[in-house]
Amino acid sequence: MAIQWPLVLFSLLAGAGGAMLAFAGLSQLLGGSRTVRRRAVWCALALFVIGGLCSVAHLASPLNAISAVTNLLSFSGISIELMLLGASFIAGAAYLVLTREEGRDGAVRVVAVLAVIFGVAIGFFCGHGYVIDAQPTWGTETLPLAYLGTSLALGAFAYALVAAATKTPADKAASAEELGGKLWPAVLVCAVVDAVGILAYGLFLGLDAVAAQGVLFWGGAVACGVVGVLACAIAGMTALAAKAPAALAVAGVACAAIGGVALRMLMWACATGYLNLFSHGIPSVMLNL
Amino acid sequence: MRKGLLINLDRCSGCDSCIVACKLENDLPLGHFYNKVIAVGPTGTFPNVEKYWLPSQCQQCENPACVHVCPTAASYRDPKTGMVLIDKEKCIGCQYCIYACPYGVRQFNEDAGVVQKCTLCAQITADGDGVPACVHNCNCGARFFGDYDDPESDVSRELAKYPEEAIHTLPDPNNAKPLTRYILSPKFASWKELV
Repeated sequence: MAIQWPLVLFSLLAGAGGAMLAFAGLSQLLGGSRTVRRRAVWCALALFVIGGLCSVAHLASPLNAISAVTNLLSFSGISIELMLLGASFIAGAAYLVLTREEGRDGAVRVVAVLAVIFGVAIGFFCGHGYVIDAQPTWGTETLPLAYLGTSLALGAFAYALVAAATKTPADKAASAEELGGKLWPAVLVCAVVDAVGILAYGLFLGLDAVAAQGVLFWGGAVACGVVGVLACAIAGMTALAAKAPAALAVAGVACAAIGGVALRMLMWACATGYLNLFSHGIPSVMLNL
Repeated sequence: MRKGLLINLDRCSGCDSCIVACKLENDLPLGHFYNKVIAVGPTGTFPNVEKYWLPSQCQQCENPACVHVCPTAASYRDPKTGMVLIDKEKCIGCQYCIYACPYGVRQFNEDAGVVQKCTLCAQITADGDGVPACVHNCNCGARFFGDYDDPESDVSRELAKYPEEAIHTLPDPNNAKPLTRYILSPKFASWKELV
């Protein structure tokens, strides 16, 4: 099946935005810099908007997005994605409004919890909409797990980049203080989910299928999405995190982005259909080829 | 009411008249189809070889996956006739129904920006009298149209002539309940599941 680029970009960008939002929520709950959180939430909102625009580009006409919005309660895969996109955007916007001034701790904590929930959920459900019986190579819960993992990894490294680019009053990168000093362990957890998701989906597809898409799977998904992401996350647990946090985060973002795109391209490239009758010519031979 | 097609493969010669009639009646552009005829086989070893033709189009599922995934209810199953149809005014062109159809019999019309498929010639059959163009123009009398719930309909009467082992449906991945029935007698060829 042809790769649907608008959907590839939408799911990765919106999922990564969700992960950044979730990290901001965690930072609010565990401790960290208010400036980092607000900058990360702004980035998340930007990713939601860009991802949403990519999604609209998939439709026959941009105006058709209005029909999708007015049918939210259909609870189809698309409507669930839209609901989570809207909920995440509202949570992010509410967080920015509430944190403009000090002293709304109770409400901010509630929004932070919602941000974590919505932020993680959007990454998963952007993949769950593809779990369809008519597509044997999509009919597995390892697919949304892989979508979630790649989104979390990209969002986690992007958050680490924002933290690295933000200076503390002592003119040091804010990374060390984020999430109560547990930023890089949290990034490592996301990298592990990413690796498990990609490898689980690859195992589901089988060696023959992934071998036919060798560059995408071994080069993009495994080398960059698994090995590269894990290497950057593990390096973040060493002294390198204090010496060059920005470089580490940039490398992580690059690897996670390549891995996330490759995973989604693989999904489309391996789609065969259950019984794709119209793919056969006239006359065609289904057996005895 | 469950209106649908019955195709007798014992009679089908693979002449493709149904495809041509469909394209003419529905004014389908080059490269677009509502139905196709697929050759299944030849299989076996000479001299024991067999082959049959499988006309394929929307199977008018009773539990259609295309309807379940549609975000705008553009794909729907008419409660009066049981026919699975597309409201082109509501279709936003997201193509999820194409991904969700187990049989790959939907196509995206890029010019119109909507998904299209066999409508059982609703423009002819909606008033309850006519038959789809493919049925009317079948040279071999292999295609039948009617209500599977009506024992006096064309499909029910043709179906009644054959034993259970000659009546088939396309394989069903998850309870989609395809309505279209195919007749293929073992004396002509053995039914292939194709999955």
